[in-house]
Amino acid sequence: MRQEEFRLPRAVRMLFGLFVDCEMLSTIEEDLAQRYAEAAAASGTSYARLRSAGAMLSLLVSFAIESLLWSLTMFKNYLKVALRRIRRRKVYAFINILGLSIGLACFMLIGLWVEDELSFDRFHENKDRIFRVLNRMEDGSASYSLTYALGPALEAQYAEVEVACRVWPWYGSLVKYADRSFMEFNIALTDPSFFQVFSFPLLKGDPATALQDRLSIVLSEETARRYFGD
Amino acid sequence: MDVLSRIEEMLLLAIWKLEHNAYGISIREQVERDTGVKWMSGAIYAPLNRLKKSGYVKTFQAEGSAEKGGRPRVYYRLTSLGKDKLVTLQEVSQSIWLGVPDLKKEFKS
Repeated sequence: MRQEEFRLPRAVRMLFGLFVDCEMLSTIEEDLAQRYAEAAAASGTSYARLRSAGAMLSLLVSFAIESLLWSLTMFKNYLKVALRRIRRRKVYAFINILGLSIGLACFMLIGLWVEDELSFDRFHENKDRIFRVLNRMEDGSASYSLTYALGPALEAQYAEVEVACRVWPWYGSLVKYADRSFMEFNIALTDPSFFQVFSFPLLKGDPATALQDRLSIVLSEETARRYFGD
Repeated sequence: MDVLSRIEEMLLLAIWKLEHNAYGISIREQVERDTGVKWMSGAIYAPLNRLKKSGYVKTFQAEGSAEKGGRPRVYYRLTSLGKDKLVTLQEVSQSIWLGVPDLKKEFKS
């Protein structure tokens, strides 16, 4: 039998390498080479090439299915071993599993919390440049109540502070319009620079001039409807 | 005790029959002789790989068996686990076929 030069293509070799070791690879290669030589002797090299390509494909499929089944078998085996160990050392297993589950639970809760925290107010154009100044209290906690002079002072004396904007929330204020009055819980005083810092989209009006006047006010759509009707 | 599939049983027997000459192609040809049909390579080597991973079969490379210009040929041989398995399989087969007459004659009449 004339031994035609037969070598597995590199890519095919690597694909087989996913499923089998090099010994099985050389067994397969020998077999394919023999089939190739037989087919080439019988019906020419181009036919033999086609045949060996088909054979490689079917071999690959067989080994892929095989390795899937094998990993399933091994998984069942590992599971069995693990269950046996748990049964044999109940206390240690309990401590291990408890510790792991608490750890995982913490990880997931922290992840959820961080994701939730990061999900707010993504629309601000300057969101990576907005910082909140807090006051460190004596007990180590942080408070957002600061002196009013701090805003303009920071802006004037620190080059890295482009714009300062003070926000003073007024919780629970009585608002009167004509003969109607409303108890408002979400109301705040702020600087004219507010819309320079935060890019809340306005339905009506120009953000550049919205809060310039001392007595000007910006209302949400819902609040405006409440005060003035439709 | 897990029951091997038919092809695994045939492979173990083929390797035993071939003794020191059991390598890929000879195993395939042995199975083809036994069954009288052509086999796809994948149908032989995937189960063979499984037998090897399960520890029924081990490989070795005979000294000085290098093909002309190629790598040394990989031979297959039964492990003691594989031999035990064959003994069990023979017992099982015999008990399955025990008392069954020649079916060819039985179904002809």
